[in-house]
Amino acid sequence: MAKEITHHGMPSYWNAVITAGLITGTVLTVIQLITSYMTIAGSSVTGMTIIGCLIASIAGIISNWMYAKGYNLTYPIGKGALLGVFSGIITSIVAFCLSLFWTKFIDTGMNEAIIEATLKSLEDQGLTQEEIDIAQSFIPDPNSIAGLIISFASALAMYIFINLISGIISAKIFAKEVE
Amino acid sequence: MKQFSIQFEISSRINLLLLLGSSLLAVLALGPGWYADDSLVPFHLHYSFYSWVCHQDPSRSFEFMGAQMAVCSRCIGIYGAFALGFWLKGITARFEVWPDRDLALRLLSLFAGLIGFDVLINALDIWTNTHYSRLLLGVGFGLMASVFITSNDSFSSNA
Repeated sequence: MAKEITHHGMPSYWNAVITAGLITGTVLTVIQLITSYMTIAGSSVTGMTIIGCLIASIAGIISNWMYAKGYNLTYPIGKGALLGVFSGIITSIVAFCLSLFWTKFIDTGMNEAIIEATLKSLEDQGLTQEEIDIAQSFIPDPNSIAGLIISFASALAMYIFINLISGIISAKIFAKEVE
Repeated sequence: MKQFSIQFEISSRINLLLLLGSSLLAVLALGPGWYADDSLVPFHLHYSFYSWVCHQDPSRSFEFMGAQMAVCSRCIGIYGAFALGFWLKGITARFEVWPDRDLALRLLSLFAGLIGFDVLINALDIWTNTHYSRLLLGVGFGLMASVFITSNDSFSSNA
C-alpha cells in the first residue's frame, strides 16, 4: 500500500475505505442479483439473505483492518467509526451503481420480473385483486426516480449505521496498541 | 498510561449518538404494528429499510401488535439488546459490574460463533432452531457488542 501522508501526519485512509467499499459493494450486488433471480424462480431466499446481512457489515471491518494493520497504526475509535461510515457510503454507491448498470444494460426486464413474481406470490397467498392493488401501491416502482431515491436512501442509511458499529468494534480490536 | 486508556474509550458524544441511534433502530425494527391500522402492513417502509440486512421471513419473525416485526427473531434480539446495553451501561455507570474489554471481546466472539454454528447446523438439518433460540443468541450478541464498545481497558480504572 503506497504511503500518502496527509497534513496531519497520518497516512490517508481513503485507500482502505475505497477498497473496502468496492469489495463489499461488489459482493453485496452479486448476492442481491442471485437473490433476485431466486425470487423470480420462486425459490426460498432466506439462506442467501442471511449471508447478505453478514456481508453488509464487513466494509467497516475491512477498512479498519487495512488501515490499522497496513500502516501499523493506532487511533481513537471515533476515527474507526468515521472509516466505517465512509466505507458504508461507498458500499451503498457501488452496490447502487452496479445494480443500476445491471438492470439498465444487462437484464432490462429483471425488475418487472421481480414485481411479477411478487404479485404471483401474493395471489398464491389468497389475496383479493383489491388487496393486491393496494399492496402494489406500497411497492416503489424501481424504474422511477422516486423508487431509485427511496431504494438508495434506505440502503445508505442502513449501511452507514451498520458499518459505523462495525467500524467502532474493529478500531477497538485492530487499532489498539499492543500492551 | 492514562492517555493510552482514554484513546480507546468512546466519548460521551459518540455514546449518546449510539444510544439514540440504536434505540431508534430497535423501535423501527418492531415494525408498523403499533401505529398502522392496515391489513397490508408488510408493505410499509419499515420492511424496505431493513430488507438490506435481514431476510424478514414471516415464519422466522415475531409479531408485534398484530403485525410482523420488520426483522427476524434473531435480528430483533440483536437490535433490542444492542440498544438496551447502552441504556443499562448508562444507568449503572457508577458500578463496576460489566466485563472489561478483553472479556467482552471474548463473549462477543463466542456469541458470533454460536450464531454461525446455529445457522450452519440448522442449514444441515442437524437441529431446528426456534424463535426463542434465535432470539436468545441475538440478545447475547447484541448485548456483548454494546458492552464491548463501551468497555474500558482492564487497567483504565487505575490509570
